[in-house]
Amino acid sequence: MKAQLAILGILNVNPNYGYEIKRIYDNLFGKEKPILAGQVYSTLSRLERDDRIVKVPSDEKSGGPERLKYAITAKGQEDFRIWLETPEEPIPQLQATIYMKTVLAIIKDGDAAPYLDNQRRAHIARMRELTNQRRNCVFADMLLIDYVIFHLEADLRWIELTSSRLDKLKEEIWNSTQF
Amino acid sequence: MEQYPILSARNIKKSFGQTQALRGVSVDVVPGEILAIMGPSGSGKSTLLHCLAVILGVDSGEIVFDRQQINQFNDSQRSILRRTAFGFIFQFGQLVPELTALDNVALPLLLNGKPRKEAYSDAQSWLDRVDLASKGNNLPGELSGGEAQRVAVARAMILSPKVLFADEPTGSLDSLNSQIVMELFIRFAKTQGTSIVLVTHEPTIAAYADREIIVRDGKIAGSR
Repeated sequence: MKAQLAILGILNVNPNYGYEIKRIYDNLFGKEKPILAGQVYSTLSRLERDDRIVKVPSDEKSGGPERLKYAITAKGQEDFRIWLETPEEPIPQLQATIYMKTVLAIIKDGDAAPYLDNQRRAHIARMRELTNQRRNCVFADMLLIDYVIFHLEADLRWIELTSSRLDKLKEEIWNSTQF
Repeated sequence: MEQYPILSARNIKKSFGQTQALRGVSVDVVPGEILAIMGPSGSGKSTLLHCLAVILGVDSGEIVFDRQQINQFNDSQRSILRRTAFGFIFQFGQLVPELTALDNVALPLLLNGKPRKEAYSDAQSWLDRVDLASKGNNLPGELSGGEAQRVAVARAMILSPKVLFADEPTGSLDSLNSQIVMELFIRFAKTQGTSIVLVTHEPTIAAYADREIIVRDGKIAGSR
């Protein structure tokens, strides 16, 4: 699911070839664990079947057979926008997804601050529920709730730090990745 | 909960030299509400708290408390307001080091002219409530950080303020003492209907609030 939305996010910048999508994905998210080419093409097939992307002729003249790029459709753009704007359910250790959304928000809008603020609100709302719950529970449950609260706090500290470094991240993404 | 806000800021601006600390902030606090002000260092969150409490004047805009425009109050009116309707808790307690814990808690009542005997009786009862009945004769230097902060809670709450301003109230405490202090002053505030304006950069502390706003670059994030 995440790879599917990341691919939509990459195609939201401009239409592209399958192998270029893999290169951009690996550059942004797969430095330690590159995405398999098979997974890219099977994801592209599913997205095409579901009308989230279409094949379009490339305008690059190579002299060979006509090459096709993948382009995002209005439905695909809508799916991507909704996913990006909907905060993740605040459960501990979401960093990979939050990081992916931060990067994709930057390449979509040039700014991830509103997205991070939304996520921060969702996290704090969850922490508020837990803080209220811990007031009325037995000691053992209180310790378990503290465990979840402190893991959510770690996510929030990461969100805070990332919010203050968005300019640097933006610069690095645009310098290191050709779309 | 009453409908009108007990405290409101309307488009307040504040600069220090060339630096714009607040660039048009509006916020309402309703009676009994606990509002957390969050934001990175240097974002303007403490300046906002100090302006709301009229410790700092604003360059423009309005601060309304209990339907009075308090940013137009003179020094003496502000001082009375801070002594009667507002309570304060800061990061390091800021107890008077030469006075005992009991003296520190009684101090706001004595400053307001309450008879000494009553003031000390009330102060002792507040020390009981923060579980420090036996530490009344200790000087602040003889208290742990958590204990000193509990004394500060008692001192802030003894006047039953309408609004309590807390600036990083647990910033110098470990997790356990932070929980104890927050539970205490939230419980007292809820019992007495005191509104709390709480500045914190700690999400676990903001989670005690009913609502949070995030200040970034002198504005509330998400506002235009």
